[in-house]
Amino acid sequence: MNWEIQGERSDWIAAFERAGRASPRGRRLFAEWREDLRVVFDVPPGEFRVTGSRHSGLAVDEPDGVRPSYFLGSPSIEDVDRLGGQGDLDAISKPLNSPRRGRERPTGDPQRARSWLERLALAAVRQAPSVRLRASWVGFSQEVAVCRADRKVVQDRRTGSRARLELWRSVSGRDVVSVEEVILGAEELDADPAKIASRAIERNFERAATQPLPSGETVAVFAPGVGGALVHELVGHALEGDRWIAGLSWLSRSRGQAIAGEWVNVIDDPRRGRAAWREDDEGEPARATGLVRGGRVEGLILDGATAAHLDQRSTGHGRRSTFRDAIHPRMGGTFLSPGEWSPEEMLEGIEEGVYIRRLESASVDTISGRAVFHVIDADRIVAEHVTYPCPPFLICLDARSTLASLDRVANDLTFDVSASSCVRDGQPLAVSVGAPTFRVGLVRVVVPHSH
Amino acid sequence: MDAVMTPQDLDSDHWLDRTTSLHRQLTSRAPADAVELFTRAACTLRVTIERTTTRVQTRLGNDGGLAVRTCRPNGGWGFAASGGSDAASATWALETAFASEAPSGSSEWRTTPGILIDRDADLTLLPAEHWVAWLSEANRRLVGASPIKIDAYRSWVESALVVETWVGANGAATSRARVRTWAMSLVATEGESHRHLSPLRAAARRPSDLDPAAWSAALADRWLDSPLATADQGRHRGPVVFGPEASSALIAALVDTLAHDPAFVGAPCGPGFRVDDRPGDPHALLGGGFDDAGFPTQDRSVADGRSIRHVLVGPGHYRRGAFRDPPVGRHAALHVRPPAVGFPDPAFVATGLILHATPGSDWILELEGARFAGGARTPPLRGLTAVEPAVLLKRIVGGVGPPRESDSGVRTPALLVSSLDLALRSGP
Repeated sequence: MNWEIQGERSDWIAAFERAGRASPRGRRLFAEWREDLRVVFDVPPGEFRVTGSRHSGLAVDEPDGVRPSYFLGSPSIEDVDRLGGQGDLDAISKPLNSPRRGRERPTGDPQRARSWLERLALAAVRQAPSVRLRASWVGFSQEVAVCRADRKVVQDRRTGSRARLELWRSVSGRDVVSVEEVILGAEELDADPAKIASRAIERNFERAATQPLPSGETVAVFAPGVGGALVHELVGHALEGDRWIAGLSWLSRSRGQAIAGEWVNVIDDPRRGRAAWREDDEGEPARATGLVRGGRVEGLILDGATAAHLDQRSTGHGRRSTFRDAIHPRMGGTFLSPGEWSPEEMLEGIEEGVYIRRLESASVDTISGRAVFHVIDADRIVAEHVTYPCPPFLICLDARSTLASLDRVANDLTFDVSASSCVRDGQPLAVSVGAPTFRVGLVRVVVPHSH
Repeated sequence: MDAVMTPQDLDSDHWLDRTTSLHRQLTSRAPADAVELFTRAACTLRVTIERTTTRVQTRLGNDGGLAVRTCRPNGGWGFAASGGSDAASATWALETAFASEAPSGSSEWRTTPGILIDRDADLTLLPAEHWVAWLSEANRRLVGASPIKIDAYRSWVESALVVETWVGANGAATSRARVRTWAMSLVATEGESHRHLSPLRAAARRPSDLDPAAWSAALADRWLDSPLATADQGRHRGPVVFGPEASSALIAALVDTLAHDPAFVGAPCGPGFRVDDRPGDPHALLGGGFDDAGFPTQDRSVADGRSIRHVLVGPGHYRRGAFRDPPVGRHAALHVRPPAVGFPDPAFVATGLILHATPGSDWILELEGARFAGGARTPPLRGLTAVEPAVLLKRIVGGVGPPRESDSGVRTPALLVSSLDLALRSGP
């Protein structure tokens, strides 16, 4: 990976700053350089697919909405100079495809990714020769610059890599599935991928003998990190400024009100997690924002437009998926703060319940606060003990009753045990979620009848 | 209506020349038959109306990129994509494709000479003012057509002129140019039980096909008060009618599941699973005379109501999701033409579908809709069930009502599934 600003890039940034300073008041310039790498290894047949890509682009935002906004792919220094010198947006309403900077490699080294995935797959196959698997690596690197007439250029860089191992093993004519994911920092890259393979294989063998779970209301304990998705969906989306202002959130009239026990604190901090940002796409510094404090609704996720509407400061959450897209207030790293209980204390007093290890897809209605999650890995809790695994099922949640019955939060905060993108208004964004082990007294389990 | 632009720079012949020239430059660094080049240039206009501010936002822009595939005699192949369409971008993509070349795998593209051309007759983009008026009218009709209190919270129309050019070896090339328009409205409803947010989508080949009246008619077919339900309402064991929108999602998911696996050929299916892929349909939203690897397309019968006849792999079926994606076997323009059947009574009618799919496991279906019995319908319900795709395939027995084309290009009527066991939920 080579993301150093080179001489040419510095020239580009200087032109960008000149253009920003020459812009009419209110206009904002945004530039983006991005590289992506995706490597997938399927066994069988032992086949790699490697996809590297890069793009760059410029957006001219007119936040007042009176003038149209523009975007342009692969702009050159000349494009930016022309834009700044004339203040003439017609100049970029033509496709311009000019040479750009040096020859960067896509984020992450494809050879290194392939070698790492090969070791991962080999370790899995050694332990379970009949297993089928898909090992994948996704990495990105994005550099942005933002400029306005009254400010210097603000730059930010976001990077992230993650790997996922999916295993299928045929047992008595049906597939047993297990999944492991890992965020790839330097430590994980140096670590032996065999450990990840072992965890996936071990869980796969445990899941070979599932026993059915009855539908109905029950207590749920979410394994460390797993419930972060719940907090993201139920609380985070409901406190995105635009939804909240429009009354499209079940929390729209709840600011300051108690919605959970005093041990419930939810924070969004874009500066931490797997794809952190320090400056948002409007050039505002990202801030940790308390969404729920002591069980009461406290803050909102704001970009420039929603902050202006509320006469507040932006919290630095204005993000866009690419230079082509509009900016919305988006979550960065949403997490439930650790509590004072130990993980073992989560099981106390539970006669019947479920211990949830992995959530995959979800459907959420922010107005009603209702959500359905697909649980693909869970164990049944019987008499305060985690017992046998269950087949996949759904949990139907009502945000109010879920949060009201969230009665214990452990001290083992964990981030990103499953690392998927958040898609809003068609814009995917890499985000982080985190949570300690926690317990919810009321979830509705729905076990669909299998055909 | 004045066109906002018919950019000279998006002239298809210009792009064909440019891509051919770039390919020539690349093949000075690698064997001619080892390099394939795909370029895409687009001019996009999006108009958004926000309900909260009643503000109109217009975004207009130009963007494009290219993708290179490489193939070595030993069979290894590579892929890389870059924004831009200049020599530096192409060289970067070539080098990256070679550097990331996988040790195994397969890939193919057309090598027979000839230029295939597929260009819409009208390549003008309508101006923002047209779409502002269209959105206002569509939202007015949307609200008027609804039997329940409704707000269009955020609505947008995106119209794009796209020029795609592909060059292989031996003078093999294709040139495609078209305008397509998509619309979406995020609708908040205040229904019988509670408020709910749901998206409505539409797409059209020509702007004139995107009719505000049709938009509101689509709404009339749906019950937007579809709860993410919590209260248990028992079970429905019996026929389920998937409305055209839900059917479209279901058919696309089933065909995608089958598309890559020749092992499915000959697998039994229900009499209602009669599906063709018709990329040559001149009215289809997607498709055309050639695929995204330069091969001529042909209409195919995917299933004939008895068994799966063809899977959509190999030449003629390569599709790129975006220029950044390598081509894979995928449908282009699915037509479902089941035998007509009567409306069953009782039946669960699904107007919306959320599909939770885990590879290797049963699908879990969340169906939004209501139960009909004796001419009466229940309040909105959510039906949940788990089902193997192969079982579902066999239970599609017929079609109800006229076909409709979805925004993903699937043309289907409502489909009758003979029997599902649904756990029913409703709002509090």
